[in-house]
Amino acid sequence: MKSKDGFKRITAQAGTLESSDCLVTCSLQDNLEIEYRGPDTIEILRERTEKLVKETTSRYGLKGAYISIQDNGALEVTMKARLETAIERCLEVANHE
Amino acid sequence: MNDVTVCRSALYIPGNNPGMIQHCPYFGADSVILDLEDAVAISEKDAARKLVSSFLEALDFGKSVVVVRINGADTPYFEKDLLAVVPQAPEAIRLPKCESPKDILFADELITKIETAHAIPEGTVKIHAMIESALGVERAFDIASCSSRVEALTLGGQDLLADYGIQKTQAGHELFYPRARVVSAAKANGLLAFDTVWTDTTDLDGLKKESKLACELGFTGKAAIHPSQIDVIHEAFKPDPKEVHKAKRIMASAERALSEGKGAFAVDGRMVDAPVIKRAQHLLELAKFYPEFNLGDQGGVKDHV
Repeated sequence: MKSKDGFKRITAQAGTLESSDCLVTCSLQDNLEIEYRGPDTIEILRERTEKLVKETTSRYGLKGAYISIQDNGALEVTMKARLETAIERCLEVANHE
Repeated sequence: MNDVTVCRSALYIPGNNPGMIQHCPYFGADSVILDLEDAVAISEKDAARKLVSSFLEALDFGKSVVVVRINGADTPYFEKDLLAVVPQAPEAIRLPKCESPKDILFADELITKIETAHAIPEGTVKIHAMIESALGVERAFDIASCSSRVEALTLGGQDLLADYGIQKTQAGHELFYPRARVVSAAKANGLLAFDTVWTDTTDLDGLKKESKLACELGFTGKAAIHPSQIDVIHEAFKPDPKEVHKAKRIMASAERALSEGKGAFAVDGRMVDAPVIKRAQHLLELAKFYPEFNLGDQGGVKDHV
C-alpha cells in the first residue's frame, strides 16, 4: 500500500467480515488516525473503539497509525485481539524490512 | 476438573471463530476444546492464538471445562501456543500426536516454566494426551503414567486410521483394539478417557450408537464437532434408571453395613462388596448430570439459558 506521498506503507490486516467479528487494517504512520465502520452509528461503539485503539497503540509504543475497523458485532475482547494481531503483524513486517 | 470423574462431552471450537467461542457457555457441553490446530489455517495461527488467549482471560465459560488443543511439538507454533495459553490457566492442554513419554515430558517442562513465571501453582494446567498413531496406541500406558500432569487420554481416530492405512466403517470395529487399549491405559492410571469424534454431523443415529459403544467400553466422554452432537452424546452416556435405583439402594445398604461393621452384604439376593459399591458410586456420580434422577449437580448450562 502506498501513502499519499507515494512512499510504501507497511499495512497488515486481522479478523474477518463474519458476524461477531471485525476486520482491522493497520498501517504504521506518524499520527493516529481511526476509521470506524459499524453495523449502525451508535456513538457509544465508536467511543469504545477509539478508546480501545488509543490504549492499544499506546501500549505497543506506536508513534501513530492508521487504524480502520469494520465492525460486524464484535465483542470488545474480539476487537482487542484483532487489533493486537494487526499491530503485531505490522511490526513484524517493519522489523524484517 | 481435578476431582471430576465424569466429563461426557468435549466440543471442539475453532480457535479463530469469535462467534463460536463467545457462545461456549451456552452449548451445554461438559467441556469445550478451543482448537488452535487443525481448525485453524496456517496463515491465521497468530490470530487464533491471540483470540483464544484473550477469551480465556475475559470470558466466563460457565460450567464448561476449558481445554485448548495446541499445535504439535513438531511445528513452529507449539511453544508460542503454550506461551500464550498457559498464563490464562485453562483446565488442560490437549497435546496432539503423543507417541512416547518424551512428548509429554517435553511439554510438561515448558508448561512448568510458564506456570512458575506467572506465579501459577505447578501442575495447575493438565495435559490431555492425544493418541493418534499406532505407536501412540502401543505406548498408551507409558504416556499415561509418565507425569502427574496427564489428566486424560484421548483417541484421535482420523489420524490413527490414516496411520493404519484403513478406512472408517459404520460399525467401527477397526477401532476396537485402540479404544480398548486407550481406556485400559487411562483407567490403570486413574485418568479420564475421551473417544474420538463422529464426523458425520447429519447422522445422529450413528453418533448415538458409537457414543453408546464408547460408554460401554469405559470411555468417560466423547469429542464432538458440532453443538447438535452434545445432547446425543449425553443421552448415550445416561445410566439405565433401574441401575440408578439399584445403585441408590446399594449405597444406602452400604452405609448401614458400615455402621454395623460388615464388609459384605446382599441387595436383591446378590452379594455386594467393595467393587460393587465402587461401581454404584460411579454410576450415581454420572446420574447427577441428569435432572430426572434428582441427584443435583447437573452438568452444562442449558437449563439456565
